[in-house]
Amino acid sequence: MAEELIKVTIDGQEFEVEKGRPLIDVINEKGFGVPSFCYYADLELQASCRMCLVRIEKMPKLQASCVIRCTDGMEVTTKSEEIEKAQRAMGEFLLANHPLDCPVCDRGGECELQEVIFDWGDVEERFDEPKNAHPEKFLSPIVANDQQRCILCKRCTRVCHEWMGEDAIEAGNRGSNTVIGTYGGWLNCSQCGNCIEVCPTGTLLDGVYRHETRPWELDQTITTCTYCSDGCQLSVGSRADEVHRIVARDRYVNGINGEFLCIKGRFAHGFVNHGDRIKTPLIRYKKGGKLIPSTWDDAIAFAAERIKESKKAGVVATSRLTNETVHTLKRFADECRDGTSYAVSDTYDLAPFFENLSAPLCTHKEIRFAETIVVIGGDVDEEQPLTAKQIRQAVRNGGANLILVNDTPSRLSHQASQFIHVNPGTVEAFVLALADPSAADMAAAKMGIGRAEIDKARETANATKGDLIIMFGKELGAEAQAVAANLPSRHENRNVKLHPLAGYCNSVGASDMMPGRKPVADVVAGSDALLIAGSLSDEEFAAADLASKPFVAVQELFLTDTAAAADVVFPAASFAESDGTYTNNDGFVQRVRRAIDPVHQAKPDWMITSLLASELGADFGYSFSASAVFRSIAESHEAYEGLRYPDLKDETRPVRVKHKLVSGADVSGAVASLRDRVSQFPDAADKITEEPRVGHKLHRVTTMTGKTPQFHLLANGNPKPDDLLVSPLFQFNPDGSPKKEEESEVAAG
Amino acid sequence: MSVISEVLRSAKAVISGMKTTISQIPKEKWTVQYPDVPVTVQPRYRGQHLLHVDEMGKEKCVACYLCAAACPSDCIYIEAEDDPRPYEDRIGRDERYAKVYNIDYGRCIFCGYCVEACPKDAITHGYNFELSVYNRADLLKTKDDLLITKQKQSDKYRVALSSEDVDSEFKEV
Amino acid sequence: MATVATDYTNKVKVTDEVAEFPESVVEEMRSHLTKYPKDRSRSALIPLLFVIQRERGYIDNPGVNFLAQFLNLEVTDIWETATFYSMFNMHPVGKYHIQMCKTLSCKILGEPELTDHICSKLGIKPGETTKDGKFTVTRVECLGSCGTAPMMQIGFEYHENLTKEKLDDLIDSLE
Repeated sequence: MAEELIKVTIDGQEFEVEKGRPLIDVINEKGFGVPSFCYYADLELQASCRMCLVRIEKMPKLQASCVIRCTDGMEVTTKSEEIEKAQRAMGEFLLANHPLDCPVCDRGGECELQEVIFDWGDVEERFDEPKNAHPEKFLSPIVANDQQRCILCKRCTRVCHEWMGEDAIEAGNRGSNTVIGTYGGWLNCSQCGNCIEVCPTGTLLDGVYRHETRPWELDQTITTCTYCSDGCQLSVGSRADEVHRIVARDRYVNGINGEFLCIKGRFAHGFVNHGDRIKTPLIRYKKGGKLIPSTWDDAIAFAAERIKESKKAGVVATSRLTNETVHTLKRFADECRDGTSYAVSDTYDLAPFFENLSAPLCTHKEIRFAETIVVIGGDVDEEQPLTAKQIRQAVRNGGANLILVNDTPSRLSHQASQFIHVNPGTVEAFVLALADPSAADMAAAKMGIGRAEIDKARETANATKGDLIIMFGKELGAEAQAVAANLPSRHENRNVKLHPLAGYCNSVGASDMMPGRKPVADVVAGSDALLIAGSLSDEEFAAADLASKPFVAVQELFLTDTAAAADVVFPAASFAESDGTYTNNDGFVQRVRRAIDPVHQAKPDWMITSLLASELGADFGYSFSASAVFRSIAESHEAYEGLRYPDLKDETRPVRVKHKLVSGADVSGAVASLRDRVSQFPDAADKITEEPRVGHKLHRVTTMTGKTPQFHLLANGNPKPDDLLVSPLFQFNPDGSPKKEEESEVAAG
Repeated sequence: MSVISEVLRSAKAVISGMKTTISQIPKEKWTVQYPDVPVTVQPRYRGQHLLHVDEMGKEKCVACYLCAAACPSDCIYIEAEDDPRPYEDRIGRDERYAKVYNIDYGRCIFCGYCVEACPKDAITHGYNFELSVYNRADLLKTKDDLLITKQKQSDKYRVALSSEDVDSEFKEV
Repeated sequence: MATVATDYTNKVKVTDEVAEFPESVVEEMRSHLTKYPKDRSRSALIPLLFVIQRERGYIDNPGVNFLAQFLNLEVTDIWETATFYSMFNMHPVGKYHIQMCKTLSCKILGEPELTDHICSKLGIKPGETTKDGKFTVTRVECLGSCGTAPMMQIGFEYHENLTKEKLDDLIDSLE
């Protein structure tokens, strides 16, 4: 889009800028710098802090530059005695009720208010009226709130409203009594913590990192989140080989997600330094025996010998592993023994999608500026929070059409311009209806909707001039995926983009790394020696019966069910302890960086596999350097060709993987089998009308999230304690029952 | 030069030297017979640090890390912790306190920046100066060694508190 | 445990209970909705809060839950609006709700002394209700009658140009 360029003069220098841009953005971009607290790019304007005052010629008073749009011939002065006087007066007002308790405030050191005031050197304080004092309290197990530090910039309320669509936090009362809070004083929301992130002062604070250390003591390592497939860029704050917190603050990291993170990415890092991590390699010498701590040499030798003895070996990767690991596992399967089968454990296999891909994947930025977004199935709010945020902003701030096809209502369905509420489990029928208009009537009947709804969606899509983005979730089977991947090639609009709502952080990468993989069940059933990196899902584990296998080796962080059933367990390094890359659902390959040394005796997954391979006589050509593994990936995978780690070093410019596009592929076979499938759906079914609780998936206690104690409370209903001044962790047991009562019962008994 | 003039000159030198020596004999002595006699230290002497407590015996330190940040030799190591108990049961005066507070006297240069940085007057320099140890590891002092309630004060020093003591230090010699 | 938080919002016990109203009241609420464009139904919040307050005495939790469902809002949105305006009570109040204007003009012309006087007369602190449930005294932001300061509001009635004697007469007449 070519914007009209106009001339703006700032402090005597003339610049060419796009017409209509916020003046404050231009001033800061050109390096003049005005302080501001309430302005936040891409949020609704507030203009309440009055710090970004500038003098604009021909305007009678000083103007707040955040609400001024650039116009031609504007002459702006950013620094003068008059402006500084006004700003200092505002600073004095802001400090009128702000306690100077920086030494105990967790925000001290990266507080925007502190920085601005500190730059001035001194601020005269003339207020001697009593301050509106409130004690520091908890809003939830994860969010701590100190009301009197608030400067009422309302960034938190706007973020909650615009990014999360939750309206969980608002400014109550009036005048000097205004406080940020909630109805009833307790925060029941998805606990994303974005309000904490954007807060310019220490009003909202991280309850997990509470009083742990100070920001300048932390080493900030830019890395990629290990939870969902959105691949948010975050900064791991570590000190003395311990991960203390995770933030996405733009002073440290500026990735695809800006400052956005979800509860899991931001708070569920307790597993990294958890005491339950496997400390040494473990060997079960005899079936039915115990796992006995051992040395690396013994464990590798033992495992190699058993794999050598076996008739047929199998390798199972999981989609939480780095590309480097999955690639090494693939090479292990190919080069160590002939006929070794391999699989990737994931919520759903993306192979049919990438084989028929007819349009590029869309980026998160494109979602924000899309014109029409079609979301077929999935649970974006709970499983891909960044995608959900981008959709929400596209609808709210960009006026995009959102067509949501799902069997369960969700937060996003309130904002959808068209919510197609289908019968449970019939989402695939919508793909059929789009691909094959002749089957639309049948599909509509199976979905329990009117034909008109499909036609309306089709009309909206056809009328789209800008980007049309089609997203789909795990409800789509292999045929439906193939058909969905082929949809853009049969659409007249050429700006169609696809977005798979993949399950895990490296679902896309693992799919790229292991072409020709088999289903997990086949690999497990067909081999008598297994190497599993990570853990199988509960269903896979139940079906696998690992105990009956002659030999199973597992690389894991914790003694999960899979690891407990293994004969050899190797302690693997977590994402914070190893180098590597993840490929997200945009197709961006992003770096995972080592923030701390591996805890105990853990080693990165790929290193374990290559150690085992060299014991078996295969030489991969790398043993210590992740960048050498990536070079091997670049050499053997077309999509990653020519990439090296230095190309990936800048998180602000992520690098796209070149997935092969197939245009005009014949998917009539897939359409036919999809039609057969859909025709077998039951004709009538009760629709799910109840909207699930916010956070029903985000707050789930899993192997990783369960290591952060706050998640147990959230999963057990987030009970409100009697005393809000003390962390709920000290007042409740992990199951959500109050601690005090138990004590008194013990005393009584 | 003759032998006689040389002798005379030497004698003159000896006499003038002895004159100084003899004139000092009746004057006050400045040598302290440490360790038999305690040393006098000045009020602002910078010895081993003291971590202070308030009138209820609660530690004043809130683990703000400003001392560690100000330290030019990077000898202070702190680990902060949250103590949600009521004031009566707490270790520190505030909810936030230092779980670990170590000073490495192998590195400390006694510059006093930490004392200047402290917003809570929790750390000051004491007068203990006998820091020599047999083992280098012992130079790392923990909170137990530094707390004013626990630090053993040496009897080998005397603080010059009276104005007379202070004056005597700067007396013309 | 440590001292209890002073913020009064903590005292609200949030439950899922939803208030029920007779059909006539719901009909009245619907009639308020018709005054606003269809996609701006939240504009009817303030008239509806008045209805809730009239029916239930104050803006209680079941009432808030009812409004949240009725207008498809979050409870926090309603809390934000209701606490902003001093005419909505988030807690039970006495029969006579005395609201002392505490903003500039009134304050300069002696509102603090008047509040102290009325409080000591009734034996309560600002924000409290007398034991017999008759009077509640609160200090509120500007009531828009600065020209006749100091002033206060009882129910919806303004009492202006106050003096201690005037206050005494007024309280006595109410008893």
